Amino acid sequence: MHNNPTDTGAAAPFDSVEHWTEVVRGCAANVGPAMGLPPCQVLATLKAPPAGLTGVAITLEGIKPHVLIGVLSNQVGRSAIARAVFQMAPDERPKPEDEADAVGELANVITGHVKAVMSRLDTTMRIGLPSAVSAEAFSARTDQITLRVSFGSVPAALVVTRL
Amino acid sequence: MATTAGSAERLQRAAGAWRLEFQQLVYNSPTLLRPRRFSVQGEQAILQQLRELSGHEPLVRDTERLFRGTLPDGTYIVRDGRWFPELLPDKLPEPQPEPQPEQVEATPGGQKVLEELARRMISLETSVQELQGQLERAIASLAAAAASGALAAAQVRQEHAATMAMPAVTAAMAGAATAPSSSHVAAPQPVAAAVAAPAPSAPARKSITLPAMSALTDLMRGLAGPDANLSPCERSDWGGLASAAPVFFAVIQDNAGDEAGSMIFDLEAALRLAGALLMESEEVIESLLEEKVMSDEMLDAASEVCNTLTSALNKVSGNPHLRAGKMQPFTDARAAQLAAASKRDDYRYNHGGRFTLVAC
Repeated sequence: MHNNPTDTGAAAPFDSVEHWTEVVRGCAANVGPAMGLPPCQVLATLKAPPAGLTGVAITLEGIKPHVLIGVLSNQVGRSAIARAVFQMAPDERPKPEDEADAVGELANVITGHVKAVMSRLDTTMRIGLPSAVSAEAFSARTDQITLRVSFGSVPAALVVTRL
Repeated sequence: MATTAGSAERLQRAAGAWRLEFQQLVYNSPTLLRPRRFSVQGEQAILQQLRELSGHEPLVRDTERLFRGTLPDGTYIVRDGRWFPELLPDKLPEPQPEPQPEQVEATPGGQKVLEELARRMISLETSVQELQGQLERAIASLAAAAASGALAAAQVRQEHAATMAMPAVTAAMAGAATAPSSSHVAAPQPVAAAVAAPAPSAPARKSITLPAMSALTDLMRGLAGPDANLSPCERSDWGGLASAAPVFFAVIQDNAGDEAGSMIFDLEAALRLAGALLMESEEVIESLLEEKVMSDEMLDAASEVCNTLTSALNKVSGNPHLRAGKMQPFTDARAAQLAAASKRDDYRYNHGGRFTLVAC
């Protein structure tokens, strides 16, 4: 239990997965329009991303590994993200590598914003290299939260895993 | 129990003691988070809690300001990062002659007068919502009574609702046309009396207002894509439909745990919306529909869809904060309760299926 003030008076610590998730939520809300996507809206909070999704995950680490931030989507979502990021025509079909690049860019920008917000936790914090991941890589665990989001009508999942 | 950072909601001072209510998301199942309300007491504990709620720094300063002041007992609610007194209908200030704009700006209390005007506008909006709800209930009861042949009894209720509503409308309009000339006018006023006075035969708790279809459609599109759409449809006979295929419902509750309404879905709508949330492929949804199977995972996701749709109810001015319970199979008892609903909106989902929003 991280926080039940009625019982203990304790609160979610600054370094908890819940706090990191709140920061990711706030940063994702800001980066959508900057990347040609509609604003990000959180639809639900899950413990594990829905099966079948793929995307990109990036770590934030400094004096120690902090979090792994994953941006996942389905085929429709990845295509829509690529069209928005690369300013493609609505009927244009992106290549799979373009989709991966676009999702990676989205993950990179979100992670960059999160790093800026959380840098007071660790001034040596840096962004790791992006890696391709699937939902199956994120098994349900207590220090992980999945935000089911939509950028307008573009579906996606943001996975925050405390390392 | 894991929680998220949360948000402050209400600050109360009773018998000189302060109490903070705030809300956080907590896990109520292995996979889902639900909002839950907590409270802390004591000035230091409240300040500490507010500091730990992210983005509440201005509120911490405002709270310290309140603690330093000598204030009467009362309740404060958050508006734009500040605490404002919560004005219940019986605490609305007495209307005073409207000050001239130059007076408002020139007097030292001008800012307070403007704040008071803002608070009065919020209270007036709430009053109008309540009156609207009363009129809708009265019309609904009249229609139901006419259908069952009990017109005379309904006329009595209708007349009573009208007599209750009309002075309130008049008084509310009078209250809107005036403005306080000072920041502290605490005497009860006619608006408060008219709005707060319960009718002898009126229900103790007012019915919630159902959201507009456009608000629900927006949420559906966020969930299921830009082509998702809702259209009003004829009243669904859920009792009859439940005998042919699975039907599910989720209770909508207020913070006190009292039922304020419900959402009812046929299997197809529940599966398609849950599938949209989990980004399932069309093939998976179709196979579940063929088998008429609602898995636990899909049921959890459908419950989460209800939670998402509840946000449309929470955005309706005048509604209390509401949350959706877990989705469950429709029962005969639920069908019987549905007959007594004060209001319901039936929709058809263009991707397949139908659902109904019900206000108790």
